[in-house]
Amino acid sequence: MKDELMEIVEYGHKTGASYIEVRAQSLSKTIISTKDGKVEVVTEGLERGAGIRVLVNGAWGFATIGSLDVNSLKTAVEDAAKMAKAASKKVRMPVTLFEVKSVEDVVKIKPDVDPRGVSVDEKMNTVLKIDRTVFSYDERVKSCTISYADIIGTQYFANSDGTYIEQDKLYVWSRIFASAKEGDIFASGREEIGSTKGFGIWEKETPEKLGEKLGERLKLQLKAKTPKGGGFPAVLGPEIVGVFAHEAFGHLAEADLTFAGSVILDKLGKQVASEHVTIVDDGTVEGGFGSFKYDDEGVSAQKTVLVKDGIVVSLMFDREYAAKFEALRRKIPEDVRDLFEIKPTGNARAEDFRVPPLIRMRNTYISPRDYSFEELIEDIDFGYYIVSFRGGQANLDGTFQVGVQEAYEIVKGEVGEPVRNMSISGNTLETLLKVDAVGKDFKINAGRCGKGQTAFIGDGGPHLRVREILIGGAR
Amino acid sequence: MENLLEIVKLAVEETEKAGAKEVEAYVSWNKGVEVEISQGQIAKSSITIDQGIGVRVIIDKRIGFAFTNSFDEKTVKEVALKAVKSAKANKPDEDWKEFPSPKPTPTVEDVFDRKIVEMDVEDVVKIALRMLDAAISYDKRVIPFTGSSFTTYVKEAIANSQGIEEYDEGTAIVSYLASIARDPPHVSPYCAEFDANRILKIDPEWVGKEAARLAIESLKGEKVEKGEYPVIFAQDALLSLWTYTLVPAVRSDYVQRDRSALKGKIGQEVASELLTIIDDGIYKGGLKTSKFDGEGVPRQKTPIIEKGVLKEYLYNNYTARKEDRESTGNADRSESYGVVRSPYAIIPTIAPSNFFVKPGTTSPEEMINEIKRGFFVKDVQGAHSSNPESGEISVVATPCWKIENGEITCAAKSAMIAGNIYDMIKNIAVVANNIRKYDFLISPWIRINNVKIVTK
Repeated sequence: MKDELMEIVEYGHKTGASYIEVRAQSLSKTIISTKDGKVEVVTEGLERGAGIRVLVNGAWGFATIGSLDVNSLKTAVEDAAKMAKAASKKVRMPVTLFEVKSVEDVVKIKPDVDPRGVSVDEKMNTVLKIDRTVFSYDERVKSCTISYADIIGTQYFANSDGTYIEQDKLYVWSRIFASAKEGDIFASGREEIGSTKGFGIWEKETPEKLGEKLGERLKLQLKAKTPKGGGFPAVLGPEIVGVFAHEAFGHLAEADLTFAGSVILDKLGKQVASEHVTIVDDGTVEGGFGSFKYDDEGVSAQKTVLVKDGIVVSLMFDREYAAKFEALRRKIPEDVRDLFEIKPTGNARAEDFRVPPLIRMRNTYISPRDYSFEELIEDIDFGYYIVSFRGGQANLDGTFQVGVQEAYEIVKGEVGEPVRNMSISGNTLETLLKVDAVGKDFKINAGRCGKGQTAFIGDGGPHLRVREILIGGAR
Repeated sequence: MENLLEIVKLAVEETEKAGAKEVEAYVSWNKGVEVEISQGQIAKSSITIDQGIGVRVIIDKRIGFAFTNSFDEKTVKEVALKAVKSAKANKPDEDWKEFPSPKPTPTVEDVFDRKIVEMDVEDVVKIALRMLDAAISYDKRVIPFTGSSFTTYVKEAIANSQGIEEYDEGTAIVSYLASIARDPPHVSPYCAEFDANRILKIDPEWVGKEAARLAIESLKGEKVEKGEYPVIFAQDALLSLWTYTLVPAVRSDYVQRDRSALKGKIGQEVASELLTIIDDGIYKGGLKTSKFDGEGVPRQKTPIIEKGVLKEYLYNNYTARKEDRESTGNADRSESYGVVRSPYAIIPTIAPSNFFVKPGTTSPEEMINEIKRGFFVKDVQGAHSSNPESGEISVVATPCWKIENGEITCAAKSAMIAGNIYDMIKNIAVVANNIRKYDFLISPWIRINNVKIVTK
């Protein structure tokens, strides 16, 4: 592919572009969906195509095409340049790119178990085993919907800085939804797993273990009570800490959203969380669902510390926003300027060749400290232990909302009765400042994040304690 | 046009040759031109062409599906073989009956505009600039941080072994802007507005001005007192709330699997008599209007709730045949989870076409004037974490304003709405007359009484 892509990059120069980038992919996908013990469909898909991005007169143009044929790609470069020229007419702040070293590399994945070597029958049986476990866990279970997908392929990347990277892609993913019903009470729950190592994930996350976890969650919800509304102390489990790190805080620290005016913008180099809080976005977690070697601008993935002991020390940058922030560096107060690092962090990701890269998270987590779980809860007279979420959302003004699917009361230092249909919300930075103890355990979960495009991500952390969090609940 | 139809016909033939008696082939071709706004300027535009074919095959009640994003003759043959192989690997589904048979498709209006097809990227830039200028000139504290103007041109064709052979095409144009306002230490929440149409008739200046006005007016907020209030929900909020509660509840697949709180309630009063919802797949100029659904079944008008009484659920071919009845033309090829994104890569599930909410006679101004103490909720956050089965919701209302003595007074901060969607639709007190197209929803504002507001 190298010669072809270089030819396209070369051709791009003739259109007047100052930067040209070609990202070609060939991907095969196997998707299985089951409902209530029945395989709905097995899908086999093949996709190939390229996304071309160019800079002309300080504006971006992007074109995508479902072909890897050199002549089609040349037409696409011309289209991209035409797009960029049209967009450049009224540019007030021309786009520039932060300089990075060019790279040549070939990244091969050695899967633990290659999904291509696993029969469709075995994939179906693995999924159906989860279904059977959930249904046999409790007779009140009413439905179970499971999606499974594996994606395997190669990405070829070349740009006009001389970078050429061939990188294998491998994802194995599954999501399980189940519901139960007793009288008028409905319970629902979900689990999600994902790996960039291969089909071997099912040895760690066995179908039985997943099924039982979900079955137990439904059972608890059916007998659970609704929470009291208001501010309470809480211990958050790793899954909730993860969604908090990603959803509530992480998006605020994506440099494009920070630049757009997220509440972090005024806090660079300053304190936003209690001294116990260190938040990391890490593209190098072994097998992590948000891990990769190079991002979609050819920048190597790295471990990026966003908040260190409560202080904002970096953001997630692509090349464009690293340059934008570098230009603003003098606006950061002098006493904290050196605490804040600006460079491309390897966070530029595109869902596939159909779309240009955006700043996206990878594996985002809060780092563990030294408390045991018992120490975290022993001082709480009344509060909540919040374990698992249904979904979450956050706003640039720093407010967040997380729907909870598994939580318990904490009464006199002990985990008590289960609670259902709870949500937590509030102001992210206020909440982070109220973190007064962080556990020593650690877990990262797989998830997907939507920002117009889908990205596969990981998030997690240890258990931690918040002095007060806003609890909402239905009825 | 012949071209796409020829491709699906060829795919059906090839699959039959490969040993399958039951087959359906679907192709879509989609061209999009988008001009993006970020950080108050236009500095990006893109052109997307995405085309592909999906072939669904049934062999002895075993369902298989294969897709690819090209459709030359060789690829079509490969996809046919893959679909056959995938069906053979599956287990039989005893509920499978057969693909739908041909029926006359309706005539639909105002869903295609040659002028949109002929627009150049320069024209789209002009529309985006008009929107942007309107936002910037409204107030200098406004940051129009993200937005876009885009056009799409979609062609699709479908054929199956029962004899369905259909082709349709459509266009759309959208202008969208999200702003925040900053006036340190105040930051407004994200405030978005848009205008969308199937023909070249949109008002980008209005979008820009509204996105700016909403941000400025929600800059400084007051905390709210908890309690039960009358609340006016704008279309955005209704769309967010219903997408995750009411919509799944009227999907026949949810009902059949005992996952719907509206199961067994046909003919019963489930909402205020002020609420009438029609699933109208042929609504003139509707954003989801088309001649046929994702399985080639004609789009139609289906009353879902009539004066508060539940009338019907939404069906595709599979769930309909399971009950020995006809599909309501609601097969949909968009439900994905980030693994695929194109319609040809997605097997049909069920979705509303256009949910038309019958308007009342009250104007929006009157609606506000009638409230002594309450709220106006433009949108909600966190609706996707609702409990789809029970209808229980717990969302943040944002942007949201207080109504005091018949007037909108100030933005309301950290107001959460808690409750159950099925109680809420029973408490509908007024349906306004300001109808608006918002994705699949065509609705006016709706006032609901006794909405529980929780806060800190």
